[in-house]
Amino acid sequence: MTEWPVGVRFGGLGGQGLITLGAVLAEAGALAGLRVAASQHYGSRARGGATYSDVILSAEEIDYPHIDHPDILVVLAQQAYDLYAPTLDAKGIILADSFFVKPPAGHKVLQVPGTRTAIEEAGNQVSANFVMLGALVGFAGLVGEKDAIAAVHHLVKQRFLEVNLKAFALGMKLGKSEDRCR
Amino acid sequence: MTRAMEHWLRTEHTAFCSGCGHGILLGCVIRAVDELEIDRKNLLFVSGIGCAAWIPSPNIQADTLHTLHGRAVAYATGAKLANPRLTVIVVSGDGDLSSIGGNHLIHAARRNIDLTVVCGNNQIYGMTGGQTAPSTPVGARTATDPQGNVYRPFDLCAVVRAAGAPYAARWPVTRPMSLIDSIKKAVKTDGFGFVEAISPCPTQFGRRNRLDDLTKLYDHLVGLCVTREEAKKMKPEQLWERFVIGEYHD
Amino acid sequence: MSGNVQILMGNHAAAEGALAAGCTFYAGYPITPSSEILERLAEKLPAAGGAFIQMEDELASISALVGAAWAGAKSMTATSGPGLSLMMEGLGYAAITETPCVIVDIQRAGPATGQATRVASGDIIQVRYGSHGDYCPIALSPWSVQEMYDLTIRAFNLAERYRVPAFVMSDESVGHLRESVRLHRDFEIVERNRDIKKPPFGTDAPDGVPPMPAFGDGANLLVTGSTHDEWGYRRVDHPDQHTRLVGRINKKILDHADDIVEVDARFLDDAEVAVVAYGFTGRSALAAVKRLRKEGVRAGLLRLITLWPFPEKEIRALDGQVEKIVVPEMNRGQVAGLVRQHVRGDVVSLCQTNGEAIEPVAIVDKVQEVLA
Repeated sequence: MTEWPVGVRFGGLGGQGLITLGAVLAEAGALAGLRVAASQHYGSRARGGATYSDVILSAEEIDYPHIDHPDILVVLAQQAYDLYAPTLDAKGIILADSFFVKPPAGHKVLQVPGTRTAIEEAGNQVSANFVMLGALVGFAGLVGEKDAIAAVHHLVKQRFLEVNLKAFALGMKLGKSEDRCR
Repeated sequence: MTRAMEHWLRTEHTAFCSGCGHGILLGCVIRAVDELEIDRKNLLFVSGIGCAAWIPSPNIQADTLHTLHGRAVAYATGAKLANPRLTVIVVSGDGDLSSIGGNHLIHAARRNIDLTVVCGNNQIYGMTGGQTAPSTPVGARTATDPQGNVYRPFDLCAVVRAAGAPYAARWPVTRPMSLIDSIKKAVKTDGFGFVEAISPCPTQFGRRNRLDDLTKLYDHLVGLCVTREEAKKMKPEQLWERFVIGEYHD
Repeated sequence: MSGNVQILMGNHAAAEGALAAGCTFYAGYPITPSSEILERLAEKLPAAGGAFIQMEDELASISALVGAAWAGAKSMTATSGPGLSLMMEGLGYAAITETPCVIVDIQRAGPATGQATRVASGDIIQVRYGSHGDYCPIALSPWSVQEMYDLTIRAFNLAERYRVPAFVMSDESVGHLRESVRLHRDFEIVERNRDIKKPPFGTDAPDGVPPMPAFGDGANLLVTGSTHDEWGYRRVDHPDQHTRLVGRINKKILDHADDIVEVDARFLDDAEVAVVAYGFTGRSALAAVKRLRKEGVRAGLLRLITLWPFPEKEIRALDGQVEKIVVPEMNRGQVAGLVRQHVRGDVVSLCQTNGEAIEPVAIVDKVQEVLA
């Protein structure tokens, strides 16, 4: 059983599709009957610099909708890892795209081959974010697979739908079998 | 002629100084809409701030919107879009439309909004005491250019044409029939129509430029008008103190 | 999603509120962090039978709004600080001509360009006093995506009811927040009285709100930003006319404060300290008050949903009831100053102007410091 509320931060570079991930996770949460709040870090940094988008999933009404200390950090770039890993809750977990993020020795990080899977198996590097989302859902639960897929259908543009659904499914598999991650 | 005036005027006194050309322009505007047999119920006049803005408001018996300095065209754009059945005619001055309101003027022309803009160009800020306008001819004396204006004036017809207006015309108020005709054409234009009326200001312009005598002032103005044909033979800088009259359309 | 519940960004919810309230005209100019409202209505308003236009600047936007309102439309624009500053001119015109219109302000950190993408709430005094002369707009302050929807609808209704410009004073954090919102229709829509037989700019009726015909109704309207009599004729050298007009356009709002003012009181009954907050900071304040309660501190929250007319009566009621009042806000104490005018007790201002939202812990700390 998940202990609500859970704060998830998607960290990466502007253009990696972080806001979309936030929107999809929030909608999937709402479909599961949870209260949700999603917010994002705006700014010129949203064009290539480190940035994030946050989602709170809660069983009860959310008073303050921003996250001070995320419970889960999904990180797609080294700069974002360096900036946001220190904000993590003491009991928090990190999922990192192993293609771009090299955590310092001793850091407990679930390394997910997000970008590699996107390139080699999904067939398009831009779907790396959805591999990571799949890995999150596969690993941590939080929302149901069906609800997540419904949210992807609702929020992803038609021409990217197929590749992102494939990426999400591949990510789910990775998340469920930790041994496939490093 | 008299019938038209009674039909269209409210019973308020005029705000114009004696000899002001804006009274003639008011007559031209009224005759134009009367001859076009525009349904008064769906006729809206919009004006900004300045002497020419008083031409429609409160004189004309129709809906009038007397707005802020410079913004008449923007208000008119909103009214026209909200109710496209309205015939919307902006009547305002040169300073209002082309200085503080210049941006709105060029954008309305660019969008080709179905408006008619009538500019009463008296070449000076009359109401505020005779300061230089963007339409003041080179050499003319004003309250802020006591030695004479050194900056060339806007050619407003060229400005709106360059921005995309399908119809523009310029006439002095001494040619009322041409003005009436052009206002009618501008109203009938499917899109943005612009008519510039060169109108003398005896109180501010005349007084400062040794044209106190009304006859002299009107003679002077007529003497500065050149046709488009004549203008072709002149140098651009010669035109900075003259008015090229005529119509501009495709 | 069940029924008409959706997850929307606050700015999109404001656009949906406008559509639900019967908005038929939108004029605007792109500005961060409000542009999502402009973009959503560019897509949806024409499809709903309304008119949308991107104007050349904010001076033009608010001008077009007023022109459209007099042509019979329910009109709205959205902007942020720099655009709002330009709109101060047209705001005064809307006030003196008693033109209903809605302005959504997604506040960002100023002055000037400031931090264009960062949150603030520094425009509170500006909308009340930023245009010259005396006028009294209505301003509402949403704290959630749901309230972006609800209060935009309410702003339209209040604007029509009182013939006045009404603001939705939101901020970047609420504007860009995504939450569940119920796009309900559980509200009445206030329609304009377009009687052409009565004067459009004066009334002896106790509510002080004259009818407002539209262009094209056959009223031969005289609308002017100069001081005018009840039929719109300019009366620019009549002391009595000016007194009467300016008096009425202010009084018709202030006299109806009970109808307009809305506050949200939580845990106040036995409170020893009250936090007075509005907008996104209300969310931080609620979280802070709950944490303080857990620690045994009798804290309460008075959230101002209406900012203008200012909830004077509700603030005065705190005096004597609580020992201290803490006002957290993302400016240098704009509302704290107003609160001080209405209470004798201690009012402590928690100012934050760093472009970040105030976190609950900052309010918890301030309350504990004040009580120590």
